[in-house]
Amino acid sequence: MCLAIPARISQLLDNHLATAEYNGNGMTVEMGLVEAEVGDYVLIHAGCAIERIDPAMAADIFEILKELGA
Amino acid sequence: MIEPVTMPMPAAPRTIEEARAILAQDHGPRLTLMEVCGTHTSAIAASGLRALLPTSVRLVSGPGCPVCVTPSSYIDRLCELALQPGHLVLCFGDLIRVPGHHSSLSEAMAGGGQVRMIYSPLDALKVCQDNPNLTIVMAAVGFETTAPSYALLLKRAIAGDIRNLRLLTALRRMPPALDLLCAADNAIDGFLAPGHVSAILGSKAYEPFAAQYHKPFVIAGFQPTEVLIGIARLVQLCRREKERQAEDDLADDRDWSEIVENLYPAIVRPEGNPRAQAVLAEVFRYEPAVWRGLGEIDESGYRLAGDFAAYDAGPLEAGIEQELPGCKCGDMMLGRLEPRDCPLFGKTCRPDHPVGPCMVSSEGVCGIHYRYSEQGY
Repeated sequence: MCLAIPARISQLLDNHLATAEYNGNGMTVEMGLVEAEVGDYVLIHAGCAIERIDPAMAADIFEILKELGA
Repeated sequence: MIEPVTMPMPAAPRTIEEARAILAQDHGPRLTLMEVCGTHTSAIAASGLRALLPTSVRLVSGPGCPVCVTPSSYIDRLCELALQPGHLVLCFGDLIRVPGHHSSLSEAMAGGGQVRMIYSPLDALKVCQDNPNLTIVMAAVGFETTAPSYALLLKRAIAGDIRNLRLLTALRRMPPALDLLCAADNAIDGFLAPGHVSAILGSKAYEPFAAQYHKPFVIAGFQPTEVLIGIARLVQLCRREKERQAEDDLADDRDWSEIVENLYPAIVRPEGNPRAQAVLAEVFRYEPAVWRGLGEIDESGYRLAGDFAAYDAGPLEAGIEQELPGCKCGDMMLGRLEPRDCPLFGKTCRPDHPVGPCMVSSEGVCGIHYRYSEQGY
């Protein structure tokens, strides 16, 4: 119900925002709920990072999303 | 007197082979398990793992598709607002084709309504700034996973002195719905708990239900292997619990947390995400809310509170949700019916012409069954 995508933080912006990359696309994400540094992976739902994840987990989730056609 | 011997807690399966062995050996009265989350429903269908379940295990889908549990009257109100001069409705793409009683948002657009799809609630701020003379109505639909995004959006709106934003909320809380499912319908023996709702709430959120209703909860990830292991573990816990209950082992001092198992610890912590919980408590209060299929559930809706109430697009008319003619989506949401039991499924109700929300949403059980039906699902 709450599909979330893994993305890598590429830049920390002011005001609890960051640029994150998913599948080669950059997007601005809300970072009000998690602590993360550049290079960390986070799980993003509705434009908002909801949890920090390790890179292996990010790769797993990326595979699942491909299978689900999301 | 011979003391009853309680089966010790079996070890959880760690591999797909162990999970399959548990399922293959399962026997006894049929267990009904509910996967609450629409993403689990999707993963189960995509992987075809239903074929690995024994006849002693029945898996039903729960109310875990936000769009599907949203009342049609909510869509009606969004359409009204979209057609009202000076208003622009923002929504995510999954809402745009959901039918209301009179039209969907896409039909309202065709009739001159102002609707725009966005990808993140953050986008709403720019739309508000670019259109100072319009009232921007953000359609806020979702569960605990999604609600913090809207809460943070409003905090940004206040900080940026943005005043032309309104939220029409149909945000829902999962625990009161689970409570209703546990209490009202004893037919469900155990729950595959929603993964990302659990990331916010924490695994401990299920312990009160385990204690009150003696039903196991397993939190699992979304890979087919993780889902299968989760189901096998749930079967183990349900069988053991039934055995203990048959021995009348319902002592008050039992540790009921042992029938809540978190198999997704990389994402879900026991306490959940405290920052998300804090921002939800700051921005929202609870109110009774109508769920499609489940009716009105006390304290299951999020309503804007305090200073944030100024951003509220207004309440919906309370009352009984009127199903669309012939639509069985309500029964689908409770796991009472399967898509093929609905006379409309695949006939008048198809993804290209949906009658009800379960067919429209990517996480709706009917749309999922339809998409995978050609694969023998």
